[in-house]
Amino acid sequence: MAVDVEHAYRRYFPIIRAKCARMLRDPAEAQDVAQETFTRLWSDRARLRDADAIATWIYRTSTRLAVDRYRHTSRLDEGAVADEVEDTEPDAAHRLETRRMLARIAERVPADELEVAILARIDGLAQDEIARVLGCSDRTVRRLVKKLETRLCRLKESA
Amino acid sequence: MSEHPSYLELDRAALGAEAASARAHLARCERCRHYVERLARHEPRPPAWVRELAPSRSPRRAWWFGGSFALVAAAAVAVVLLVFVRRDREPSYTTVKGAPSIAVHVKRGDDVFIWDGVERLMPGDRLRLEVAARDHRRVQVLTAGDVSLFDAPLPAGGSLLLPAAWEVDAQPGAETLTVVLTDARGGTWRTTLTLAKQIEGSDR
Repeated sequence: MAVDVEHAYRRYFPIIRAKCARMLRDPAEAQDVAQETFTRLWSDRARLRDADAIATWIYRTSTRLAVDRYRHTSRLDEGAVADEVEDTEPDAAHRLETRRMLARIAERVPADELEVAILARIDGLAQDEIARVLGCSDRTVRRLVKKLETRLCRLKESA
Repeated sequence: MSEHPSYLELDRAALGAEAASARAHLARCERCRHYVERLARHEPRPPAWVRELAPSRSPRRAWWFGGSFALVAAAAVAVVLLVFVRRDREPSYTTVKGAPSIAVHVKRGDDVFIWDGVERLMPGDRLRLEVAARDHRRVQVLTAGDVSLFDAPLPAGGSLLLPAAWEVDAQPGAETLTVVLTDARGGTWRTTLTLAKQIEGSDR
């Protein structure tokens, strides 16, 4: 039986691209991460049994790739602001502020806290959804959220 | 906490796997519905790097393309499609855990894939139905006007890939297939699949 990658692309890539555009400031980075996410999805597809599993997988993988980008970019050129992805969705201003915050703190904050920040503040996930995406307990997510909020409060105070 | 579902939940809706609460929200929230509609409507043209992925690293069977599987999710996508694309029609499909399920196998040229509720059919596509119905004994397939296309007994406890195939014509309008299953006591289960078509010069 022929396997149709183009069909998968048409079905899943719009979701991946929208997710990456929300997360990343630079359109080229967003496209790179979307492409990498889809390539990994294609490689992993035999393990994913249904649409729910695929959506969760997309969120986990693309968020981790985006965190890698934030940390890498932060190391290369701290404070640089790349071109913003055009964001026409509601709450765009809130996401813009969150992306700038992530760019500032990326190198100093553990990756799991950054993942929680993206999923909660950019994608609007509830704590139980974050736990499902990251494959950890609700308690772990609550702990990470608390640590992140404490850290952000300290940063604001010191600024 | 936001009054709207998360983007994850909206993306699940675009894939036909949303929770009931999200479905109810989408029915009344234009903003969220617009987001899901846009994802469902947008079919990007695959670039070269996508086509290069195809041959070397593809397992022979993946759930979204190959083999037999219960297509409850795809039927749910069909409901979403009906809700968002054809608002003049009421969705007629509902399902519960353990309910029968229908898979639509589409043969397009040399490719065979399982219809996901989003893909538009092309004239010349050939369709075969796979029915999984543990508790039913007979299957009937009807087209518009309840004209019978197929009627046969089902094997007990398993699924059946119907031997009949139907070719998609170039006439405007969606293809409609109604599947009626009858159990040993004469009770019936019925669902209608509406498969939108891509006709040259038209969007349906």
